[in-house]
Amino acid sequence: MEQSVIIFFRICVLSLFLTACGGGSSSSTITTPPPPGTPVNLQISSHDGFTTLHWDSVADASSYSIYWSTQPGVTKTSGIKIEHLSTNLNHGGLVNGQSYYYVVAAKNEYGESGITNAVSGQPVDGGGIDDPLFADQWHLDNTGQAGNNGISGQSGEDINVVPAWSAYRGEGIRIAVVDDGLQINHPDLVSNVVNDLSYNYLNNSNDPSPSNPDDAHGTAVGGIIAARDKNDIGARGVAPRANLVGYNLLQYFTLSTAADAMTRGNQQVHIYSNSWGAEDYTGILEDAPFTWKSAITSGLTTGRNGLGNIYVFAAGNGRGVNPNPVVDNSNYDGMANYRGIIAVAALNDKGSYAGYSEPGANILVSAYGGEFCTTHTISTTDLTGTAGFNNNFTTGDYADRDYTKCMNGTSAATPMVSGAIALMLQANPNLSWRDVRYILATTARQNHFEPISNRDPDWIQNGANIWVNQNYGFGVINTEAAVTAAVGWTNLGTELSFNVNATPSLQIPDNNATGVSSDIIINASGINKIETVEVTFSATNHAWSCDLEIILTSPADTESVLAETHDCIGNTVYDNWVFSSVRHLDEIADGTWTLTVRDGAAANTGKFQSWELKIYGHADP
Amino acid sequence: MKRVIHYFIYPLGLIMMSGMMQAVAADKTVKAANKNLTNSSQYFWYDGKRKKTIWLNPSLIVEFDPKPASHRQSKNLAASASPVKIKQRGIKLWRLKTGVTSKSNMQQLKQQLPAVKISQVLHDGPSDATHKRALPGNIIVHLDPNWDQQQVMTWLNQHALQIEKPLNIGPNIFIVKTGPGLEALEKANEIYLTGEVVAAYPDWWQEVHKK
Repeated sequence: MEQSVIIFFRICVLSLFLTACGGGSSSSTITTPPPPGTPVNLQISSHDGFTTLHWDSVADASSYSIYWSTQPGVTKTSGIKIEHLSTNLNHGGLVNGQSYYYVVAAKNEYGESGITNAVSGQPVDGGGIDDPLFADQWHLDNTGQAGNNGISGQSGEDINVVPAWSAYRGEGIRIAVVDDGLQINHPDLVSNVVNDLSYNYLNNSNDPSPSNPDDAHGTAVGGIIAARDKNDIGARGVAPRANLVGYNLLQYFTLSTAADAMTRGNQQVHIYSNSWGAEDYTGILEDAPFTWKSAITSGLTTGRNGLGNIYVFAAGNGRGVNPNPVVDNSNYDGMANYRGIIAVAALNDKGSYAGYSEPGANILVSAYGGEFCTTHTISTTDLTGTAGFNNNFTTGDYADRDYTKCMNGTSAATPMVSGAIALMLQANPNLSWRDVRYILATTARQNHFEPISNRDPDWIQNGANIWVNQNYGFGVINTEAAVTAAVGWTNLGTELSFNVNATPSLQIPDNNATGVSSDIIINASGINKIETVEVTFSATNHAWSCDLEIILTSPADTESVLAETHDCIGNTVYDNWVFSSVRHLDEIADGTWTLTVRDGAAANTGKFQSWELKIYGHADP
Repeated sequence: MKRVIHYFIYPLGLIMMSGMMQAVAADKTVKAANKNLTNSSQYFWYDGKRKKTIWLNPSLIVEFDPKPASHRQSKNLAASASPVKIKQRGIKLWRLKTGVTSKSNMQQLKQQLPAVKISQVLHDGPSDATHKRALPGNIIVHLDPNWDQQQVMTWLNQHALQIEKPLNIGPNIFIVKTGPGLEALEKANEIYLTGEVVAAYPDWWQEVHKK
């Protein structure tokens, strides 16, 4: 059937100061082809956590849309839409035992067809009991498994999640994997993926599955968070019943797509897991864009109905290799270093920092990234078949190419923390973003700590007697302890902030170990439990930022090393650079704070021009 | 410290794609190959209120929404430039075989390739080893958050601007339509310097890295 549409044109002129529309109108009759016919033969089958739908193709259709609901009588108006589909869909992230109702419509450039008759399905537990690769997942339960080098890991060096699973596996919590894609039909992910919240920035569809076989990073991250448990295949995630949402931001990264990915679905999505950031091993300052910061602030203040979205970021892989000095510090990465971000460092299977894992005063906690595939890394999902990390050219990896044992980096550690937070939020959905940080920090286990003879020398007790370390933050996450603390937790008091500026304008002696210092005195701030400290630092006429060591000392004599003299690839300058430090947790804000600046290398010189100290925290309840 | 750093292969995709490869210490001369852009054209933009200097890379261009290789104009582009490997699939990075991306020859290139959306490449520092960015078109404008819809529309009309879509990270923040390339940068700076807006900057494409 052809449709006749009468379109009335009005001529409107927009100018700088005038909007004028012609009073007359003309009409013309345009004949447009019809939308495609309604699809037929809609079929459904139900599985563990997902349904599978398929239908017959229709002539002239360019794509199809599904409308679904948990109520019978689903229509285009009442249903939730999933669009840009071909002739099938695995609809994941569903609750077993719940009924789901579906209709389908076909679409082309001229419109959308009517809907099919509805079908319904009820996902059911598959009755599985095992995850065969769990035995290799030392980050979940380190029993001293050996890596590819045959050397055993340290028993007990894991995130202590197994005891938490008896009560919490992440049900009802949604985690966005912001990455290069997420293979939503992967057999070990499909039960947990929420299609209608996922997004593809290349084609605006709900399917962020990568089309290129090299883009396996997000799928590996997704498996670490929420590979389905007890389905008799593959691996297990930290939160194996949580829901995954995929955003393939890294395929097309602009300021607007980045802002969108940090806030997309932020009333439904609880946690944004980000295993990406500034380029590593450059040593230069890489600021976060204003748009991105605005998006994070928006998520923290308005996300999750005002409780705040949780943003987890990789701390970075740019630590130097001996005998070279440390190059990157997570404090030089404007995203990982931003207030409100949970920056995560990576450990190996012995509980020491991985050789690439950056230090930083901004690092909150650690999890496991392993070292390299030749030694011991992380087992997780991979793109199916020969695509992905475990391809035809790798050796020492699984025979089942849907999985890899070679995922590593702070990229691998980050989703472990995201998964642990999912269990915390399931245990207590009322935790704010500040509570989540506080609980993670205060329940973390000090790794690389015992015996004392082998303790990492950087462990110190801050002024509130909390152990903290530039390499590890407050230590490796202790999931069971964090979940236990979350239950019945009383949220932190209202956030307070207090800031003071100083303009010392001091010449920094070149290549000199003493340096210069400036004091700021805080009085009557009302903050006697610090959460985060920000230092905004300027030395704009010192042309080589990498020469400078910058150390903040609190009234309780706790030091935060904000920058070290280090190698770098080029000349950036400190121009109102904002450092953040978590190391002063629970200290009292009032008193004298000192910022010491030293130039540890010959040549470039300049002045310590100004700094601002901003302290965030709360009053003791 | 003026020593340049030693590049080596380390975690994530690279090491995983190459399977059993171990981190290796590196070729100390790699960085010497980096191109110094000190004498290249400098531009500036406002990231919020912060003025930032950027350096034009005269030998690189970015193609946005890349067309299939069979596309006639893409073939023309391939004749004058060679592709540079980059991880993001939403763009193609090209190294020009001859010529530089001056304003006039970019204009020429755009006229020759009207169906291809291209932009110059700029760096955050005076070296091509530093962070890359390019201009796919459109700018982001933060207007006074207290303005009502009428005030917003009046301001847009006064500046002959059209909203592409709102950016839901706060009140009165919009993506506004412009063409790609330096046109977007110039328009953003022009708007910011009127003093009538909270912020205005191009919707930059940026390099980003998996960890």
